[in-house]
Amino acid sequence: MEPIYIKATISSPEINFEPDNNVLRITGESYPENSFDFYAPVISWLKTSLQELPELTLDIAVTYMNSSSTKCTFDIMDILEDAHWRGVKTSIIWRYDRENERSYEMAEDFREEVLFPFEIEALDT
Amino acid sequence: MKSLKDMRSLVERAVSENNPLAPDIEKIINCYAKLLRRFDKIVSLSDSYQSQLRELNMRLELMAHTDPLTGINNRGYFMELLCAELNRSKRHERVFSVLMLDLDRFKSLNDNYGHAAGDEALRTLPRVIQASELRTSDFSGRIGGEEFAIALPETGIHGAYEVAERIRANLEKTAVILDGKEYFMTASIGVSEYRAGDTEDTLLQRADQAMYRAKETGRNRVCLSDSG
Repeated sequence: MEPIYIKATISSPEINFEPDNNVLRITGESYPENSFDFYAPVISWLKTSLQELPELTLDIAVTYMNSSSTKCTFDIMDILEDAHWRGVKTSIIWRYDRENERSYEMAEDFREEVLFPFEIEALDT
Repeated sequence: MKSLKDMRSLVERAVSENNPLAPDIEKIINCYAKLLRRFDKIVSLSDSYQSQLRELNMRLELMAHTDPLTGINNRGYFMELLCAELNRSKRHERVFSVLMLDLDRFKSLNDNYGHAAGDEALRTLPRVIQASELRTSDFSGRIGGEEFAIALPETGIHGAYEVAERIRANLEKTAVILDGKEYFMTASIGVSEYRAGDTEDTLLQRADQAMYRAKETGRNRVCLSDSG
């Protein structure tokens, strides 16, 4: 299983898997021309990896997403949830912007969608 | 799209009719409910992100227009506003005037009391301008180190003179605390009125020349541009 890596662009986040601690990092801003095209390889890598890995943490620090990216993020969270029910130790660390009050509320909105561990931490920690 | 209530009553009907597909229908309706909730959530989160963007944009625009020290319009934005007023006055044959204000002996204030004091002095003039009963259509800007300009639409040179004199008098009475002591600043002010053929530069230049004359003839005074 190859660790996935996608370089950041001005409109899409960096995708980076760290095999040492089984962390998938998504960092940056997300408003690609076609989110479904952008996230498709991430989603298919995730599905395959979750068949093999005993655990996976999604560490997501995305300060802005367009609506299709929001949808894709939920899709990713659903995949993690399915794996959780199969016995894989999945968790999410959601990083929010301390300077922006709405940012924390939005993290909580995302958290409502899953039943596995979901931590909310500030961006600079 | 059917409402969730309608869909749930489908399930109830299937159950009451002992339809063998009832549990499957219920599963589908539950999926439908989840999809509906998820859809609403995506939309509302997207709205939140968009509001964030708009707020950021507004702040950026404000920063681009604002002089960071005094909080009033910076030179670039003042010139934009002046250009618009010039075009408006030209088109509708209106009258308007500009004032150029320069703090007196600013360099020696800076040398004697330091730059922090100089900054405080620079912040005081815009406050005095605000308190001098300008109209909402009047606008000002910091256009140089210690130079400020004010545009007064619908105002001829004599009306502008009165405004300038009011500002000058208010400034003279306003104490700034420097080094624990009260310091009273003054400004030299030049006034010019828009005339046909003016550009922003020629209009401001005449006001500038009048301001220099105010400096040369004793400071803390208002001079009208000779040529109007």
